[in-house]
Amino acid sequence: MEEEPTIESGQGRSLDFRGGPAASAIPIGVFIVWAVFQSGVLGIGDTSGLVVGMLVGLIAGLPFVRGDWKTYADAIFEGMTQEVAATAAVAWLWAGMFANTIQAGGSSTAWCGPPTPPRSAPRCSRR
Amino acid sequence: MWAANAAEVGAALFPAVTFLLAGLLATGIGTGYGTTIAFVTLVFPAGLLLGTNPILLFGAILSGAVFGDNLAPVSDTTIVSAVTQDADIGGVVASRVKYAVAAAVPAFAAFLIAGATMTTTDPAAGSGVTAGAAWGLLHLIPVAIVIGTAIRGRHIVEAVSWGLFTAFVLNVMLGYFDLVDVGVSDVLVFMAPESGLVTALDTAPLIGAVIETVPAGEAGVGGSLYNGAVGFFPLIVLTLLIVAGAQIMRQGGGFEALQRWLLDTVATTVRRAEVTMVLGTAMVNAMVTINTAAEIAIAPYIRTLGRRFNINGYRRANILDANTSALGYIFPWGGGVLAGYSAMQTLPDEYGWFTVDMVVNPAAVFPYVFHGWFLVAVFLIAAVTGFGREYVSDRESEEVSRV
Repeated sequence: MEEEPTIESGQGRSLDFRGGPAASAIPIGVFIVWAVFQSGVLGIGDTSGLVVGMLVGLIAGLPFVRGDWKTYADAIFEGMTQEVAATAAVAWLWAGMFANTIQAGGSSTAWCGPPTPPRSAPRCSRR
Repeated sequence: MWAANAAEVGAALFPAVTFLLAGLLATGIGTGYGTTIAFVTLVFPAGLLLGTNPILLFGAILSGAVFGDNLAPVSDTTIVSAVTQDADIGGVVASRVKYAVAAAVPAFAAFLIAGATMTTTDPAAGSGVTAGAAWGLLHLIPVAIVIGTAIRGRHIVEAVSWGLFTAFVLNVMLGYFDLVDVGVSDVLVFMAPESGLVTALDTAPLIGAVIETVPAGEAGVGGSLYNGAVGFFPLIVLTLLIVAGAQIMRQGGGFEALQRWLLDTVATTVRRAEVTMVLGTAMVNAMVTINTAAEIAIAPYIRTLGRRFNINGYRRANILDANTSALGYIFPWGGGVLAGYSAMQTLPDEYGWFTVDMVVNPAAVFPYVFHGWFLVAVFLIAAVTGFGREYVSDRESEEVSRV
């Protein structure tokens, strides 16, 4: 079987944290708390807000790094350039364009609602 | 409406039929949120006119959204579930059908029973229902092309590009023959501030179709290609960052520590591992309501936990996606429910007969998202009994680049 390119790569404890392996969970941990607070508690469905949460999480992990912070930054780059992220991005972009083009073509006209009197034309709001 | 009229659907059958139609649309366009909004805006009022119970109908719409979000090859949760488990999307969708159908059949029956027994509102008087254009149904063609091509194993980029091309041609033709109010500029438009050059281009043949003159402050690019792509930008950035955070956790040893804990205490057998995966995805999705983000975060654990027991990529992907898709449309704070609710709140303004008490409270609809509940149940049962469990030795999933 082929070498899998994705999530498992980069094994090994090349990053040391004050607080041991548990401290390496700080970035993701902060993100989860943020996500639960923003979307669960406050009810804000803003994905860009979650981006900020993850950024804050990544910064929050910095003070715990033992040694050169450059290894931490390198881990960020290595993570971001994994094939998983790129494949998902490509798939989403294409799927998004497709879904919107279908909807623009007024497939919704097949589902038009009834008119409100006194208007006589069906009210089809296209999305 | 055209299809619904033709079948002379009564208030009792309406929820069940809506579930099917919403499921169909959601499977085609891959977005449960978009389906929910479209159906709440257009089908929900029609159903209430016939006297359908509003809470049940909203539940039916959300159920269709769950179905499509779970199964569609172009759904973001489906794509993430396949990619993170190193499985090709076509194979994942094909292997997922049995679970989706196993949940959809009882859900459909439940909607029939509930539709017949639940109290309905009085049909609103005074507005006739006109037949909508049947041309919209032609859009099922590009949808079928994408689904068919993906299942046949073609790369998802190729499959969707074909669908995109046919949808574009279809739109242009429908617009050209004045059958539907759509044009090339709905797919792509350059809204440029006025200038001599811009005005000249605007009136030119061919290229003029995609150029519009606007006041300086409103300049921009638009159209479905633009909106569809731009809509995903925040999620793409979020994914990149989450994966970066996961890498830090891996290199710092945290990932291994958590995994060892799970394997030692909770996931000690295949069955317990699968049940852990099902319950774990449910828990995280219940807390983090943007389900794709939750899915990306959980995926590595599903992957490693599953692979320890030699569970193959398709099975892992299906477990991962099920509760992710289902829960976004069940809980009152879920993104899907909220999207439908905000669309519903615009209805009293749009329709004179639509009263404010016809708007469904999000907290009231959760028991009626039948397909969501049945999907959760199907996977819990599947984990406990082993139904559908596939090992790597049973069927090796195709490499992810075939995705």
